[in-house]
Amino acid sequence: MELSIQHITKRFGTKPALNDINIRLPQERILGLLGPNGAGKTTLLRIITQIIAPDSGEILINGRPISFTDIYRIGYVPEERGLYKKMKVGEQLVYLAELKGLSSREAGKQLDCWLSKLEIMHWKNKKLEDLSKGMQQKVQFIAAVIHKPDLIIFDEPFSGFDPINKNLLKKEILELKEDGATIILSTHNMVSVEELCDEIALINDAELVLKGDLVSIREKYKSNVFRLKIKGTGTAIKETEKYKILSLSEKTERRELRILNVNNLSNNELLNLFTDCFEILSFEEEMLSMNDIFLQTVAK
Amino acid sequence: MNKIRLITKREYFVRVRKKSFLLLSVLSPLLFSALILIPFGLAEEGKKGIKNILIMDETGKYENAFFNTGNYHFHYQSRLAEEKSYSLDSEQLSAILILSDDLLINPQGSYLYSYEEFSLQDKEFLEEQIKNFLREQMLLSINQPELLEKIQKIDREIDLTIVRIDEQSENMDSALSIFAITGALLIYFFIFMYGAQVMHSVMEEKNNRMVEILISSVKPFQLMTGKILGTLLVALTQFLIWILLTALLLFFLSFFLIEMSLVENFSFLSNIGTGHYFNGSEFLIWFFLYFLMGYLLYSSLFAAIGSVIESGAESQQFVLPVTLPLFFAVYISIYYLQYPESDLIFWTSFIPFTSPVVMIARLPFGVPTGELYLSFLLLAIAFLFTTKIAGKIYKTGILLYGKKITYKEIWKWIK
Repeated sequence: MELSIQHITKRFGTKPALNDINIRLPQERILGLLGPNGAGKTTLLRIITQIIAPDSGEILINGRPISFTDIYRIGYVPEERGLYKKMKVGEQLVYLAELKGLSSREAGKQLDCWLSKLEIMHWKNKKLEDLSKGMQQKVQFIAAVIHKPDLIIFDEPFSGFDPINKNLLKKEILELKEDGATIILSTHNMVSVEELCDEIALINDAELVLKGDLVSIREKYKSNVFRLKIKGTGTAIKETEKYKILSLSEKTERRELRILNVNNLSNNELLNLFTDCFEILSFEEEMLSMNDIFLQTVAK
Repeated sequence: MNKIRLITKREYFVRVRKKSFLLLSVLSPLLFSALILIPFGLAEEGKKGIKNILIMDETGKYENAFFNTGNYHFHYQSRLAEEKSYSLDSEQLSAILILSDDLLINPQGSYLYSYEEFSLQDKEFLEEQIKNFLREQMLLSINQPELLEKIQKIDREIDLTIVRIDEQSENMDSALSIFAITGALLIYFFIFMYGAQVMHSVMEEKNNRMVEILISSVKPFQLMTGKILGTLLVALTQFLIWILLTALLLFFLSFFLIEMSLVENFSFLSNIGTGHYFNGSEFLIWFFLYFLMGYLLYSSLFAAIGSVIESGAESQQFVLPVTLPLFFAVYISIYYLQYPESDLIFWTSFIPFTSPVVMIARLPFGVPTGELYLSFLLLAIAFLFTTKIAGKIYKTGILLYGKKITYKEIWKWIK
């Protein structure tokens, strides 16, 4: 499912929650929706899930305006988790799947499949309140995907998971993508964004301040700083007009240096400047982490 | 429609599986049966309180002075006779009344020696019997038997008949009042009880954040409607259980415990149905219809309240204004029994927020068909109107967490 968010604007009273937001998300891609608390992310997700309506703008699904029946094709894990505490796990998942348009038979089939996949089959007939927080999160995850949606929205999906279950969940999200689903991941966990997302959209103060695919964004934010490890300490390293030495450390037989690529030379051109005199042990470009990009953009 | 059915189904099964539902369903018939049986039980008990009074007449003048009634049985023993002339054991006697002198000459010539407590009412009754006897004796002594007969006729026949002044001029039956007030109270009780259940259910879904998942699958109005209908089905199931269990209990109790005397006591109810005004089955149908529409009207408002609060304590400020008309309606219904022709009664039986209770109180005494249909139509229109408003409040309220909502904000949502 291709999702297109066009000129979405929403105000609560006099306060703008979203201002002219435009995002396009192709099928089988994962979008990382980023932004500080209160930026407007949850409002945008609620507009996509049709929980609230925008003041202006529209949401397009495969090029046509979204309709009410499209909610059957959307799965949603809200930030504020919620399930019936006193209801049995199996019963409530079947109920939620039926509300999403599945027949009770199909819902039962999907339920068993997901319970085994996430290794919680033996909790099927237990009340939710008897489960640990992590288990409850798994049930919440199943509630969002049991009806085989084409668009899945996860609002902070990893909160409450231990590292093992976090990895299990990441694996499942990537599998869902491979199976054709389009995914929106709203999170503050930048490591997960780097691991999972293809696209980024950063909202700050109701405005979309950064968008694009992850590779281009990181390219855009690259610092032109390179880190080299070289062998041999005999020959002196001198700064040229092509690069500037930012730091240099010498250990026995090994030197580490950080250089700034002043003339925007290609990696090979830059490397050739050293290969004649030194043996290169390692060469890498310093990239800004998503966390740095987030902080830089929001601080602007 | 399918979504509403699913929500209704879940709401219904979750509620009927609760222990509190089972407890209320089983205990209430016991309570109903007790409420019905206790007055009759007390009446039976009252019969056991018959006073057996032994009259010891030393003058021989008062042999026919005392007449047996339901509560007083008199037995005579002449002081001169050596043999016991009554068939009671001494333990069964309540008192001995000794008439030692001619009371016309010596009015203080009577003494009551009692084995148990004698009230002022008992004393007055016995004195009245003596006075009547003496009056008769005096009239006979002046040889005026015709006058005596006339006085006795008056005593027998004077009976104050209470007649209702309207075009039908029928006797007002106090049993109708029982139907009126019981019907009004039950409607009030049911609307309040099940309406509050809807409110709590909405509040629960808001508190456990379930609502966001749900309304990403269904429209808020569908969710609200499903909840209201689910609780309505719970109410109807509970009614059915209550009726069946109460009938069963009363049947067995009447059969085993108090035998057929209860049936005699209930006969007044069967007579009501034959009266001109009151048709039992018609009353039940209208009771059901007014409950249904009244419940739908109020439960949508209760759902709206549930959506703007996060705890039971917060509910008071919103619940009170909504339920005030219901309290008022109950008060009016009680007032109606005293002032049936009041304008207040007439108009409140048309105002939708009071009509479900007041009209049911009016119904046993006869309401023109046109008035009944008009009142019900107004109630149905009001239901559609309030549901629309409640839907608007509900839709916005359920997504607002951790914020105290004011009337001003609610007014903005409605607009």
